[in-house]
Amino acid sequence: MSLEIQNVSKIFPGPRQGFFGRGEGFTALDDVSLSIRKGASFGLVGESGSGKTTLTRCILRLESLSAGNILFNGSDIHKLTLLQMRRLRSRLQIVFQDPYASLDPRMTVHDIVAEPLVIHGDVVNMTASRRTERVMELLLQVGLRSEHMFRYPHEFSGGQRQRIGIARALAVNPEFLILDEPTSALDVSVQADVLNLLHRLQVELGLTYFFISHDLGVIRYICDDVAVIYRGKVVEQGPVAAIFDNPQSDYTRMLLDAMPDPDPDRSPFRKIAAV
Amino acid sequence: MTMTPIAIPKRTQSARLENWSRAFYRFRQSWLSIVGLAIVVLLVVIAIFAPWIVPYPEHVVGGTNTAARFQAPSTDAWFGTNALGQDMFSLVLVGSQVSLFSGLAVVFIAIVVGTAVGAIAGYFGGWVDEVLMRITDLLLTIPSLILAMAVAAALGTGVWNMIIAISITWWPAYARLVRGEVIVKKEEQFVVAAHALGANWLRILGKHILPNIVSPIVIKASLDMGFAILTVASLGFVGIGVKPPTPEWGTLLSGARSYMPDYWWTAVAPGIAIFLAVLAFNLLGDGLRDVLDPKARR
Repeated sequence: MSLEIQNVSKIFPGPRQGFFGRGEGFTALDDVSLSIRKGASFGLVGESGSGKTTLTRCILRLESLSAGNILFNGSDIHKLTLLQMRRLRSRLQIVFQDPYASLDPRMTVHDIVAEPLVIHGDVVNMTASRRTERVMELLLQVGLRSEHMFRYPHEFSGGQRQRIGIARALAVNPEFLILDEPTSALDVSVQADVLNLLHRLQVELGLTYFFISHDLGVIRYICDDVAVIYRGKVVEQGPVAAIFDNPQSDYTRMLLDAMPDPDPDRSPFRKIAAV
Repeated sequence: MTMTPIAIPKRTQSARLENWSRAFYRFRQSWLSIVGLAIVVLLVVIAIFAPWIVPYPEHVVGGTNTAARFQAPSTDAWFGTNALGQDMFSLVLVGSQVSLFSGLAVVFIAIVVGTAVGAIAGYFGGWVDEVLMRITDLLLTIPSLILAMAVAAALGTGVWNMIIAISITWWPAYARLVRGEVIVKKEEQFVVAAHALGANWLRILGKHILPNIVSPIVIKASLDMGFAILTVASLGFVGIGVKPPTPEWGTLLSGARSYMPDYWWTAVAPGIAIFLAVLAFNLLGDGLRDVLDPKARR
């Protein structure tokens, strides 16, 4: 197992009441357990506010846990020393949802993609010119061109920016990639390009994906296993085919029913014309 | 797979250049900003070359000519002469050195100290924030000129003591500004991304947060320059600050006080100099704000 999430709960403290008291907290994650196989794609589906992003923040230790453990290759992420955690971050990278907000507007593409190489310089140990070559490799790998290297993020389209974000995540050769709704901010046509790129990279580099989405079509396209999360609780988890063909819980069934059917003849907008 | 060596493109600055030309275009939209910039440039040039262009350099270092005291403005002495027969034009021109230098030094020290304090308070939050911001609040409650006078009186007179005295009262405003901006930027996604990459706090503050909040600091600094010059002159006027014979606008004004209104030119010349400098820096600051912070436009 690559990543094991064991009985994780996260309760955000409620508003201050009086001098010492606090109001009732908000339970963002409630006893969540997931296990993600090495080399596979694990999908996490849920509506807005269901705790998907909180879970990623917990995995990255940007948020502390209220209860439970998160094991990465057997070591508990939340019990590591700061140095160990820093080492681990080079193996566990994330691609963010919003490609417009997740790139520093004051840095060139070169500096953005090279940043993990600089931060993990003690492990990577590259000279500046070697880093530039590595950035070049990465840009070509994600389908950007060499002349893009010294431009600023605002000069790119959403899809291109997401490719920059992917290049940054891949810079230090991670084995595990968290994809926090990587395509939800993109045009539908661009979504397919980015998904195909992610799929190709997974095959080429043997990556493990933790893919978060609210788009069931995307999950079905890219994932091997899937878990459905609703109000901080995992409702159902298992192989994609099993869940999609034979959902056990009402909530999953509801989500599947809400999926638009790609067949135009069955579109609700056509009904009137057909009559 | 055969890899042909890839040519690495030249680091072009075209995007940056384009931004600069766009910024200058927006700056030109208001002719007042241009006037401000022109006066500021003129003042800086005068301050740098004053010792070589003044007609009576000996008056600037303490030389007197009592035979020609209280001469009205004429072609000989453009701004007249004072009680010691010194040429006011020479004094005012050289006086720009002290004023501009002190103003710049005060704002510079205030930015360095204020940014450091504000950035650390805003970034770490919690009790660090509480302690630092309470100290800041405390300094903000004391009228700055009174505090500066007290500090200057305690340290003794002199340009550097005066600069330190004003800076002490000046940095809290920057600390507050920077703290607020840092708190906003701290939640931005690219900062979270840097965290996730494993960047430490120094890198996150220095590389990601501070470069993104330069604009409000620059705007405040340019608007503050005028007020800093005014404060320097005020301290000179009340007798703390630069001692004669070094000419300084506030000191010159203070010396002229007892000869009003008969020998008005001794007061008008340094007064106009102060007025022009303050006005010019404010106009420049307004122009910069239009460029760097377009949302704040009227």
